[in-house]
Amino acid sequence: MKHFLLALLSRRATYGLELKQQHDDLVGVVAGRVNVGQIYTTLGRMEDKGLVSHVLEASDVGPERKVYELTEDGSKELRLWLEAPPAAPELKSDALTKIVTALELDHPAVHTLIRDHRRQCFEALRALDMTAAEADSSVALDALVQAAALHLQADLRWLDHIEERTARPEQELHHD
Amino acid sequence: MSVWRALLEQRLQGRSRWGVASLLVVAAMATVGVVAGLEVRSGAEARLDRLFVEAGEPSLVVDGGPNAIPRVLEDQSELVEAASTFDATFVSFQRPDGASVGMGLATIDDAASVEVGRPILRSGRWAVAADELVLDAAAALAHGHTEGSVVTLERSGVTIDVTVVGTAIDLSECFYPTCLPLRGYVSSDGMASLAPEGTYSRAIVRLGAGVDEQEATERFRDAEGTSIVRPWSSTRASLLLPGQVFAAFLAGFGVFILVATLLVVASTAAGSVVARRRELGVWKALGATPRDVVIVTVMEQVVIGLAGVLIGWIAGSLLAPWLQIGLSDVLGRPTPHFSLTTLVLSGSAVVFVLVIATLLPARRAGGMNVRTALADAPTDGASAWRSLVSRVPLSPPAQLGLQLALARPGRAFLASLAIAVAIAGGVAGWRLDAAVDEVLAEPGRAGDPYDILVGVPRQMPAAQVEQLLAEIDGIDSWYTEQAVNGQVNGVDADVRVIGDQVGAAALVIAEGRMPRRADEALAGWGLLRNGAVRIGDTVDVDVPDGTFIVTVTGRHGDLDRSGNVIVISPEAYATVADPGRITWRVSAAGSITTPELAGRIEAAFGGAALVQPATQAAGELRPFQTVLAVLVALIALVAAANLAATLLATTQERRREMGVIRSLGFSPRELRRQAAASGLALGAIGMVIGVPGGLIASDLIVESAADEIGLGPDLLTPALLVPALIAVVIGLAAASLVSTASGRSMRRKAPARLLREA
Amino acid sequence: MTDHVKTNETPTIEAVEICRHFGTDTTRVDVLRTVCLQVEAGEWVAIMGPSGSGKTTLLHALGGLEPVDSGSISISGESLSHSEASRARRRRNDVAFVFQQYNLLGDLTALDNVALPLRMQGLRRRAARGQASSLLDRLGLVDRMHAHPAQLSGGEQQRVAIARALAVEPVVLMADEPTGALDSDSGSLVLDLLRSQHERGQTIVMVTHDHRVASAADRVVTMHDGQLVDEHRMRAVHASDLQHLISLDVGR
Repeated sequence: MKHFLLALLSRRATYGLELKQQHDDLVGVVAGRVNVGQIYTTLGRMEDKGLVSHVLEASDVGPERKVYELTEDGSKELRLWLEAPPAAPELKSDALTKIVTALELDHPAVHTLIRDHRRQCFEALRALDMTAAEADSSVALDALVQAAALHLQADLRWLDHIEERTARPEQELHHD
Repeated sequence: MSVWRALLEQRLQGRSRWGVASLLVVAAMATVGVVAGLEVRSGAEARLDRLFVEAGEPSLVVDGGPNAIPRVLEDQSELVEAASTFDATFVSFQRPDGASVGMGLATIDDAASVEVGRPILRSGRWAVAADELVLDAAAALAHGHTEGSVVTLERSGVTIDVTVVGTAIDLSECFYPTCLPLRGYVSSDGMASLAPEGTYSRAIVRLGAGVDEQEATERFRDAEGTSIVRPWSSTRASLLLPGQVFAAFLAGFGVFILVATLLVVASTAAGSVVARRRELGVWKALGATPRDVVIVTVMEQVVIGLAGVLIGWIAGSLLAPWLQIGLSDVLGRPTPHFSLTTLVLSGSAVVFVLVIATLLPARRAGGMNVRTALADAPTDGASAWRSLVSRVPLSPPAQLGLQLALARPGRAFLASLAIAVAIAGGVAGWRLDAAVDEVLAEPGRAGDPYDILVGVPRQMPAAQVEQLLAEIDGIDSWYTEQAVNGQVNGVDADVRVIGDQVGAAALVIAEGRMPRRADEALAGWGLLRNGAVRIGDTVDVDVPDGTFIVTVTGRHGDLDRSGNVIVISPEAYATVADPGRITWRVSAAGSITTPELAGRIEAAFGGAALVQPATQAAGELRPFQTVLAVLVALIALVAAANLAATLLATTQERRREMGVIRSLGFSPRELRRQAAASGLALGAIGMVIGVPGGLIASDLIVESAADEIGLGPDLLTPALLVPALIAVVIGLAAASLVSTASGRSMRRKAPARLLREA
Repeated sequence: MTDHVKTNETPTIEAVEICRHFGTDTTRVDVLRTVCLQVEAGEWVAIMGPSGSGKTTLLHALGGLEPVDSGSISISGESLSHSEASRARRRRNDVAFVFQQYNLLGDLTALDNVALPLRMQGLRRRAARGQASSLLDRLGLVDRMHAHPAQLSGGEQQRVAIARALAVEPVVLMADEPTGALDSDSGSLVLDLLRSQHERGQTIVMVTHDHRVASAADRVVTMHDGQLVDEHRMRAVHASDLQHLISLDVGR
């Protein structure tokens, strides 16, 4: 969240509320809307570290509002972060751990686990397609949607692979 | 059905213009041949039969003595419905080239009064004065005589010049120029001046309805005083024969083209089915039944073929009037006749051939499994053939070429067969040609071994002639000849009295030996053929002046007289008759040309002699040689087309494989080698069948032809080795050329295109 | 996509215990083993499975493109017969196929390709072309109408192929890896096309190996070794569900 906000602020200085708005517009569809409190908390922490600063602005309606902007340190921090190579690919999910464990233990529940995960992935894909169709695409959203889709597909392929290598208990059609 | 129409439309739309055009042309050509042949034949018959009626239906022509004829007519009156009688005689007619031929003359004063056997005036008028002549229309045409030209007639030493005042068509004998004798008509005055001592009679008879022609002919023949009886059926047959032969040739040409088409279409259809398998899969997916597929695949060819038939029918019917051999020269061209029968006939034949050619491939297409049709991967597996071929130690291009050629054994066999036929045709044609050349080069085989004919005035004694001849430089040898009509053991034959040693006549002996004594003779094949006369037999020879006996010692070759000939010595002839008209037949020495020698002879005789170089049988045989050459060329063309089609079809099927190979880096040169190897493989197979086949076929043909025309067996020995070798070389070269050329279009396509499924 | 509800109507496709094998004796392969499947009207079913599992054979069999050795298949209550001629009739009128390799006829323009099945049904050329043209218009291909397949991109060809399939208003559309040969953009276009047809009520049976494509269907069945082993009915989802379905983090 920290770097994300720094990036938004690098475009222009703005209020905390508007930062939430920008976040939701950009990635909210996929990542969910962000809690405005979380934004302020993060902004506060960043200000403590000297990455951002704020000025007060008078408002016609209600109390003064804080307008946050990037400091030089903040700008530097953003730049350093962008230029640093990304961390190693992360492969971490509950489904992964559970299914691998069940496989290793030869647990009977493994097939149900596989099927459940498969269904989840399918439904997620379905929703993803709908989302992609409805929302205006921006570069960021598009990239996120693709990432999500491909990861889901990867999971599904992985499930197929596992299923092929394990014997099926009964040759019977499983229905939902 | 709508499915058929929809799919047919699609196929016809997609077909290459070249493919449509070639099938169209072939179907049209075949139809032209068949239609023209049929029209020529039926047209000639129809016109002749109309003339027959116009001439008063002359069923029988009877020649005989002036007293005998009226008596015979009365004796056989129950057979006769009507008859007309003419005074007739036999004269010599001098041709423009100086030779004399026999001519029959008859008297006509008032043609309209002739009820039966009326000659039909074509131009001019009938003769009135004694020096006027109406000439047979065909003869006039052949010899270039028109009204107003003057001809010289001679009889018994009397020569008169007459003016041609008209031409007429005469049905009492065949009137085509090669039929002798010629015919002419004079007035009674003219006849009186030419044959003052009298004439023979000719009666032309119309037999009663229901009278059997054969029986009537025999009765008239047996009657006393008649010499020649000629029924209309045999005259008609002779008149129609040249036309019929030509018509048969035309029709045969058409049929030949059809058969050739069959081969080529079958090949291409088979290949196209496999090449189109994806399209067939789509058809099936869209709901075409197997029957639909079969019908459309066949219809595709039939529709185009029928279009060609229509074109060919029109063209053939329009062409037929121009192809009336003989008759049309004299009778004029008929109008084009469009017959529904010929259209239906040729249409059915073409449809039949095309259906046969495409049915099997079409059924394969219909039965093709959809999964196979739509599959991505090529579906022919390895065959036993291919593994066999891969063991042969050849370079990769050659091996691939071999595999491709033999990939579809059935089709490879057909192509090889076509090549074999072509090679056989080439070999046989060469040998037949050589046989004909042999006959032409050595007149001795044909029975007339001389270069120059010398005819002298009657008054000149033989001794004087021979003395003059002996003094001329450049003469190799000569013999004398006199020809008489006669019978040998009852069989009609020409009796040739050949003097100064028959041996000097340089006749070629096929069997037996040359006669050594005066009472020995040579017989032609015609007399020996049915075994009635055998070598070694003693036979009776009847001539008008009497009968004598000779022993047959050998067989010689004789072309002009169909082998019904016997050669005897003047001594044998002298036992019953005085020598008649003798001609000297002179052979030129190798150092001098015939015209030169002729000039010397003329000079030596001071112009008193008739000096005539020999007319060769060349005239009749050369066209035959040309026709033969054309036929062989056609067969070769068909074989080439078939080879190209087969190889093209196979490479189309294997286009993916070709694409892979080319992507692996086969150079254009290696590709050409591969194509050449394919052609050579099929050519070699064709060779193995074709060369022996051609040798055997030509032997058979030469034998039977020699038999037919009277030369008899063992007279011709056509070369064996040279034509066979040449056929092998040409055949292989042509096969590899054709296959290399036909693969060009494939080689030019980028490999990527080949790899992409069609 | 319609929220699927089981009805008491006759299913559009009913396959009962169909079996099919290839080869004999030692080379025998049982490609379909007692497969039972029902497809309801308007349903979109995706068939997935590893290669060799028999999914393409199943699709072909359901559409009458191939016969089965035992069992029965009915389309709209009328069973498919054993005779190829009768199956061909069903393929003309009731079933339409879309293939991975498009399988358009190269000799014809796009318009004539689409018109062909109509011509086969007996329509006159002008009428057939008219219907084809409006169909291509609806699919957004009107300016490529007179091009030949060789001049069209893969995606355009596949859309023309879909138009051809839709021309006869088939009871069921059979799609065999419809996006298999396409890049993702063309593939999306094709998928959208199928989706819109499905929204109009078209029954679709589709074989695919692409999970994303399969997720558009109402039901995904999995084949393994000649048998149907798994089935997922997709419940209706909305875009707003997405955030609950996945957990995506843009970093802290």
